[in-house]
Amino acid sequence: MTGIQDDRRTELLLLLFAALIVGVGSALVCVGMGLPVLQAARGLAVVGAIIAGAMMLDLADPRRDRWLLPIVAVLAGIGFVLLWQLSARDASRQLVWMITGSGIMVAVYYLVEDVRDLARLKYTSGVLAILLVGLTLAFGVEKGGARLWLDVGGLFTFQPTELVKVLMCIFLAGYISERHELLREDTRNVGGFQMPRLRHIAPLVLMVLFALAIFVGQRDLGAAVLFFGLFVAMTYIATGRKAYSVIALVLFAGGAVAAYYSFPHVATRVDMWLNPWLEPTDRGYQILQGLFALAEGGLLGTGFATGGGGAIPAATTDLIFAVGAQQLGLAGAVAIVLLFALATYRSFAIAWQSTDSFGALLAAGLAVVFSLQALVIIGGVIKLIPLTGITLPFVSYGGTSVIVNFIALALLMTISRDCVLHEGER
Amino acid sequence: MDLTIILTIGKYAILVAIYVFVLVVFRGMMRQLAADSRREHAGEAGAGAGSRQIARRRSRVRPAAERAARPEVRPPSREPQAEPRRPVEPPREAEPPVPDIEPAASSVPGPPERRATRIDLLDDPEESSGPQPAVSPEPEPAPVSEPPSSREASSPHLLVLESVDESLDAGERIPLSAAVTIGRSEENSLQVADRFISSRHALVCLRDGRRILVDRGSTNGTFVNGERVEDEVELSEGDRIAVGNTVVEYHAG
Repeated sequence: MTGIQDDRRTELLLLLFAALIVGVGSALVCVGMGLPVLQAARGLAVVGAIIAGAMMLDLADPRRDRWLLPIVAVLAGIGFVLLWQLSARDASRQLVWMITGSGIMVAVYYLVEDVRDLARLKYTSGVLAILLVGLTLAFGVEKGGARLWLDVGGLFTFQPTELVKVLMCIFLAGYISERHELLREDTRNVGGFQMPRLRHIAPLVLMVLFALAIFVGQRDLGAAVLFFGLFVAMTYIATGRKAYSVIALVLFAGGAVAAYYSFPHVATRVDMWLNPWLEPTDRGYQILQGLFALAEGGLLGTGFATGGGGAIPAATTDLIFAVGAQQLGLAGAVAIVLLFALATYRSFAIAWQSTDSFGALLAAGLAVVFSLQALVIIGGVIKLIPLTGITLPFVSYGGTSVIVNFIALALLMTISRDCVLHEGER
Repeated sequence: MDLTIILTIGKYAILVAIYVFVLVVFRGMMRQLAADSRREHAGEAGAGAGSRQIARRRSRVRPAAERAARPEVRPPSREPQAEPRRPVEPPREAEPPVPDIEPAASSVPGPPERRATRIDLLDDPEESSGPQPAVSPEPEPAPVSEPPSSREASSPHLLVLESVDESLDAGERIPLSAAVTIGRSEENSLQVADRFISSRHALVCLRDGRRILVDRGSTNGTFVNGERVEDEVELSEGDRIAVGNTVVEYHAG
């Protein structure tokens, strides 16, 4: 029998383990770059922020998930160590974002009294998501060929797409949990397929199509793929009907082919994926530099603070995985993938154990977003699929990304608090 | 010591440490999940319901589908202010969510009478997987004019008049959620052991606020007040629905 106290101790030990890993990594970076070893405290501060956050969460309600935070601490710590070598300035900012994010996680945990209340905000969050994307399209600031940032009063820029992910999860979970029975059972036979009636599914499809259209217009292909995947996964999870997924995937294949011929930026991505050597110094440059980094890393990597990575475009954000693979090799890259797999598995376990349909769907949606992001960008870096710009959760540099991921983490914590049956409760 | 040697040793140390971490977390997680499911199964075995275990397992495969839609348990009076802006107005949203008032009871496959009794068995110590205090609707400070018991009594339901399935007693009420399927196979929310009933026989669902009975291509047909249902029909208060040798009466509230 393990009680809450045992769980707390396990989590703390794991967090300290994470601190050890990150501390050693930071110390190596300091040694390698000729900095005083005391500077390693900056790396420890990332884990420290999460440990402090964990303790604050327990003050509110200790009945929550115990595994996600340590995993996230390791991922965030490794990300920070990699980032530090690429740009000390960005690393300092990232540290601030991590601390802020951890604080926001605690705030969400306190403010959301019952995660099921969020179900009533489904249309609000749906509209907000569309508004945010629309605003970006209208007033966005362009960086690196994509218009994804909103300038807030000239103070800082903000990337709404990141927030839209969580908002869409809430919308989809709220809408589908209310209608999953109708979506599953009240069907009509269309050419051998049992399709849900239009009146049940139309709002859902409209919303998703609208979001997709905007993302394609915005040239944010990563987000478009993410959204579509989220929609398909959640419909499948709620209805258990494989036919819906098959139809959606056929549509996706058709849409992808159409996009290839009608949008030049889509064609670029695909062409460079098929053969980056067509234009090694131009459009294929990024993916080639990423591949060079992977090759240099080999099986066991070159080690921290050995330079490199600087030549890769967007090394601190989208291609941070390539930098990690260079320094820690295939072994380290696989370890990072395993950490993502563990976090995803745990999130699905929360969904699985949830006694509430909204909580289950929201947890599953967040797990899908988290894992799809990792799949899309890691697959892109290793040239398994076309490279699309998307952040690697908790590892990449980026204020909005870090904060939104912490919000998602807080939501998973509240679901594990509110919807999962705990020991001793009967 | 040479800098390169330190960095190399450090790199190996970190790699080993990360893998140990992954292993520790993985084992710990698995152990906890196993313990959780053992607890759940222990509770079910104690209740002595083998078929419930099946139902339970199925519900775990599709967690969302079988779980109670708790937000809908909330008093209807709080509904309108909660969603001030709606991009698309779903038709059935406008009216009070009466049909969804019954939580877990109706939407779960497996013997429905057991599910139906689940709600009344809140004090049963074995009901570990049933509604627990934290999420059960009762402790909710519900500003509803009527007490929960009368609300339960007035929710839409099917009243069993006769059935060859001995687990369905005459006079039993089967609460209706947004969609209830009737059939012989265990995937149905109302499973009836009657050889004149098809495996997927009929569906009672809510569409635009109207209660619709759909015949899903059954072999022996579905009859409402003695007339065979072609495709689908709207139900009204007191309609007698006959499927196989089972007769139920529809009550809107």
